[in-house]
This record gives sequence, structure tokens and C-alpha cells, in this order.
Amino acid sequence: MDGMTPLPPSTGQDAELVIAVENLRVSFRTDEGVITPVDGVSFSAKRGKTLGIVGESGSGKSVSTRALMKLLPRNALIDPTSRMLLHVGREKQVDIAPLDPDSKAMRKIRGGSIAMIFQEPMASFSPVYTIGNQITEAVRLHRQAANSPLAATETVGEQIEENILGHGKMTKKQAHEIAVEMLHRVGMSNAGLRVNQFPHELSGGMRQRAMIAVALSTQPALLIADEPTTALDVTIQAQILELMKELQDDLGMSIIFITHDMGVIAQVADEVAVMYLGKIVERGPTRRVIANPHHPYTVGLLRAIPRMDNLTRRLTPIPGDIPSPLERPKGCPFVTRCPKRMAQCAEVMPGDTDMGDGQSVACFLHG
Amino acid sequence: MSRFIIQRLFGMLVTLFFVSIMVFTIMELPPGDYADRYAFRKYSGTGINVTESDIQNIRVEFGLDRPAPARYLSWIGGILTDFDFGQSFAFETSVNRVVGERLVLTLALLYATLILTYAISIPIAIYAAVRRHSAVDYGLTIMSYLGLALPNFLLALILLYISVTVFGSSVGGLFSPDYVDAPWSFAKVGDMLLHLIVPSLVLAWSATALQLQTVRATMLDELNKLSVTAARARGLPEWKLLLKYPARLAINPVVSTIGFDVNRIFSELPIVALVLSLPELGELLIQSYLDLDMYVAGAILMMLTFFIVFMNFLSDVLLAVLDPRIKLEGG
Repeated sequence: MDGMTPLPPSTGQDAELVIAVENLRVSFRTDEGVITPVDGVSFSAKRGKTLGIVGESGSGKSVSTRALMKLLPRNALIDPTSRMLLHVGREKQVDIAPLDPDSKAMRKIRGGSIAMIFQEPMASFSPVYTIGNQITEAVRLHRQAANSPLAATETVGEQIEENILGHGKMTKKQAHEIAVEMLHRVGMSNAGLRVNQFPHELSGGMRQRAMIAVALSTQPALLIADEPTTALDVTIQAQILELMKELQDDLGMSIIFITHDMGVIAQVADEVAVMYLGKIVERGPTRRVIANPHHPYTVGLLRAIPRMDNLTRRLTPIPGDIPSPLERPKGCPFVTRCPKRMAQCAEVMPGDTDMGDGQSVACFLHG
Repeated sequence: MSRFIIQRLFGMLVTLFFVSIMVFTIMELPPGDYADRYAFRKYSGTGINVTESDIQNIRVEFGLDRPAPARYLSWIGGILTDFDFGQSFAFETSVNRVVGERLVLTLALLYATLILTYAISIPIAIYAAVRRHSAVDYGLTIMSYLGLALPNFLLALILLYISVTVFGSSVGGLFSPDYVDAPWSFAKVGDMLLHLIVPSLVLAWSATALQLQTVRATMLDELNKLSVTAARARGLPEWKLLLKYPARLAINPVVSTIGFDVNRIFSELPIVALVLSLPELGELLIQSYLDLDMYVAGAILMMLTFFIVFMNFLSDVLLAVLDPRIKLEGG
């Protein structure tokens, strides 16, 4: 659409693919006019792998994942040319983009096929219900009676299919057992006791573990983690990241991990997409992008990470602020802050250039 | 939970004890006593000269000569042991008989008003918050400002006029003329409920306007909470979600102000009752003060404060049931 090369065509699809987003464009009608916080973004997530989306506040990373779950405010509009293909089984795909947010199909996907955890574990729980109540709610909405909670033997596709078509509700008792088992699984001691506790009776790290338990209790094919560790202490943060990795190895779900922290991305993501002002400016396997960043914005992000092995080096902040979506530059979105801008940058959006080994960058320096 | 209830119950009893002392003090405050008034009423115009000793005799006859603490003890003792509020001097019968029927009617009005207030304000406010900036929402805001601005007695007169001219019901009172002296029956209760509509509408008017705004504002806050988004992300159907998460918390401010509402209703009741000529307690309270009929006044004050304190207790307990965070702090 605007120079982004689409992903490999989805007809010759990879069975490993869980979700493929193509040319997603989300606009909001505001009093000041129409803004487009996500402007033609494509990404995909694979079974058992983690896609990291990194960017500053306002880069559109949260909006694009909330679009996947149709959790956008009423004034949001998903462009009709956008496609969000959720792979259901080997042959079938469901395009989420045209689905009505209030439809039954969408509710089945939400929580069932795609689950989400949020930045603030305290605020993610309602204070007036027990942890167990909120887990069993999810379980009873999406799980059938016969399933064993952690049997990850089926293919992702079958899981999704079951979640979408599933019927035969679980009893409260069965769901309660699964809740206890999940809490135990996410590393809570005394899970049988914790399940009947209220959120305010748990510590921050415990709450985030509980939130992960809620999200994974339905065996989703995709887990969206929206800055899940930002509000936590560094030591707790490491524990939670470790836990998520473990659970991914066991359950095989795909993770989309949103963060502004390149350091976290380096630890968790297999692939990374760097977002700036609604566009993905660089993408590729995490190791390659970190070792060999091409886009000036990615370079800037990496320079802004504190490092223990080189304490004499001063941190280099990226100068300036991310522009408001109302003042989006005509050409490359990063042109207002780029140290290497050229005349054409302000006029034309550069297309994606393939840098080899799956890495690509949208910058005139390289194309 | 049971510890919490017992604590609050104990607090309620302590409050009522102090209230009873205050009420008794108030009963003692007006200059002169019923003996003076009785003598004046009985002998004025008869030409008989009443001496101070005659009045003293009347005083002894009514037991008004004993010291105040002794009279307080026998008064409160009678209430606690026999539910006997003493004698009405003006009506020359027991206070219970004077107050009894009016108490029933006052309570009927109180609960009708509360139910009407909550039944109207809570669902509409929740709807308005969910459909923010819709026609319903704007209409509601206008209505509720009107509700806050319009004085009760004016509304009472307007509704009275409408109910008489349009619906042809009888003017004021709690019963149609046919039923006033009839024995209690289903037909009479039905007639009373019909007559309760206008006064409870009048009394509910401003409270409804206020609660609409409170519930709407709280609901809007709650709707934007991350926990609501998180529940939506679990795939919960929208209406279930709204009832389970934001609506449950949105009624907290309503529940916690039940006591205030009761207080306000009792305060506004006498004026509305005067306009609509309802036989309720407030009007009798004023009359008993004019007559220095202190046991009637005391009984009414005790009953009204009892219901205010009791409804406050009820609201505390309900709030603790609704919000588990409260128990921790309350101990």
C-alpha cells in the first residue's frame, strides 16, 4: 500500500503460522480530526515462537494488538483493506478484520484463541471477585468438559477449532480444579488457598502470575503480552519472563510481546518488529537486528539501553519526541528526529529493503 | 463477616442510647410543661381560678414531678420492656395508639420512595453511561438538573393538580373518601398504594436526580478500568460483563448513602405531607411540639432516628457484602 511489501502470500501457507496480519490500518475519529495510529502494518506470529514488537509510547504497538482482539474504542475504524488471518486448523483461516466486535465468533476468539495480559496486574483484576472466580470465568467460557487442562498434544489448529466451535460447558467444580492447577503451574505456592483470595491479597509479581494463569487457562493459540513486566521490579521481571518462556515450551502457544524495552526483547523474542509512529521500520530475527541494526531509529533504541559491561559509555538518548499522530510527516515517520535524514526522506516513504536472513528495513540509507 | 456485623450492631446500640438521651433532653427543653398547658386548656373560660397547687396536683397525677433521670429511666424502660412509649396528654390515650397507624404509613412512604429512587436511577444511569453521548444520556442530564432545581412542594402541587384534573383521583390524603374509615382490606391497601404514588414520586424526585448523576459518573469511571478490558479480552458477552464488573461497583456509592437518603426523606416529608395532607409522623411531630405533648414527640423522634440508624447499619453491611476490600479495614 505505501511501500510495505506484504508477507509471503497466505495461500501457500505455513502450517506453523498462527496469525498473519496484512496491511493493518487503524484510524480514530477524534475532535481534532482523523488520526491513524497504525498505518499499514504487517506481521505474523508462529507457533511456539515469540514476536517482539518494540516502540515508544504512541508508536501504535498496543493499538495494533488490541485491533487483533477487537478491543478498540468505539471511534476506531479498521480499514476494510486490512487483513488479520487467524489460522484455524490446517486449511481454514478466519479473517478477524471484518468481524463485528460484539459477535459470538469474535467472543470465541477473544480469550479462547487469543488471550491477553496487561501492563498493570493490579488493575487487570476486578477487586471484588476472587482470583479463582476470574479464572473459572475464562475456563467456563472457552473450555469443553472433557479436556485435561495442560494436554498440549493436539495441534494448535485443533485447539483453535475446538475453542471456536466448542460447546459442552464445564461444571464450576471442574473449572475450579483447572484454576488451581493453573495457579500451581504458574508457580504459586498454596494454589488451593490463593484461588480463593482477592487480588489485593497478592503481591505484584503474584498478580502477574495469576494474570498469566487466567490467560493460559483456556489454552489459547496466541498470547498477547502488552508490556507485562513494565510495572514489576527487575528481579520479579526476570522471573515472569522465565515463566513465560517455560510455559511457551510446554504449551506451544505463540506470543506477541509488546514492550518499549530492547533489553527485554533481547531476552524473549525470536523475531522483532520495530515500530515507529504507526509503521514497522525494521524487522527480522532478534539476534540479527540487535547485532546489526540498520534503521537509524533501531540504532538509537539500542544506544539508549544501559549496559553493565561498559560503564564508562554515556547513554545516548534519541533527541526530540515522537510527533503527534496529527502531525505525521509526509515521508518517513522518523524524519523529524533522524540524525541521517536526506532530502527525499521528508517527501517519500521508503519501501522495505531485504537485508538477507529475514531482516528488512524501511530506510533510504539501505535502498 | 459475622464479627463485622456484631461490631456494627453494637455501634448501632450505642448510638441509639445516646440518641435516646438527646431526645429526652429535647423533650425537656420547651419552657413550661404539659401540666400548665393541661390546666389552661381544661379550665380556661370556665371561670375557675387555677392555683399553683392545682397545677402541682396535675403534675403529680401525670408523674411530671419526679426528677428527670427517674423519668428518663421509666420512659426508656417502658419502651424496651413493653414497647410502651408512654401516654399522650393531648389525645388522652397511649402514644402507641396515636403514632401506630401513622408510623405504618410513614414507613410505607419511606420504602416506596427508596424503591422508586433506586429502581429508576440505577438502571437508567447505567444505560446512560454505557451509551455515553447518546440522546438518552443528554436527555437524562437535562432531566436530572431539572430534578435538582425544582423544589419539592412545587412538584407536589403540580402532580396533585395533574392527578386530580387528569386522573380524577381525590385531593391529597392517603385514602379515597370511601376507604378512610373502612377496616383494613386488600382493597384498602390497593387504594393506599395508589395514593402513595404521588408523594413517593415527589420525595424520590431529587434523590433520583442526584443518584442518576452519581451512578452515571461512577459507572463511567468503572467502564474505563483495565479490569473491564481484561474481562472483555476473556470473551465475556458484553451485557454479562457490564453487570458483573462495572455495574456492581457503580452501585457502591448508592448503597453507602442509603442512610443519607432516609434522613433526607424524613426531613422533606413534613412539607410534602402538608401540601398533600398526608397523615404521617412529621406533621404529628410538629403538632405535638405545639401541644407540648412530649411523649408523642419523643416517640416520633426515637422512631425516626431508629430507622435512620438502622438503615445506616444496613447500608454498612450491604457495602461489606458488595466490596470485599472493606472487611479488611473494618476489622
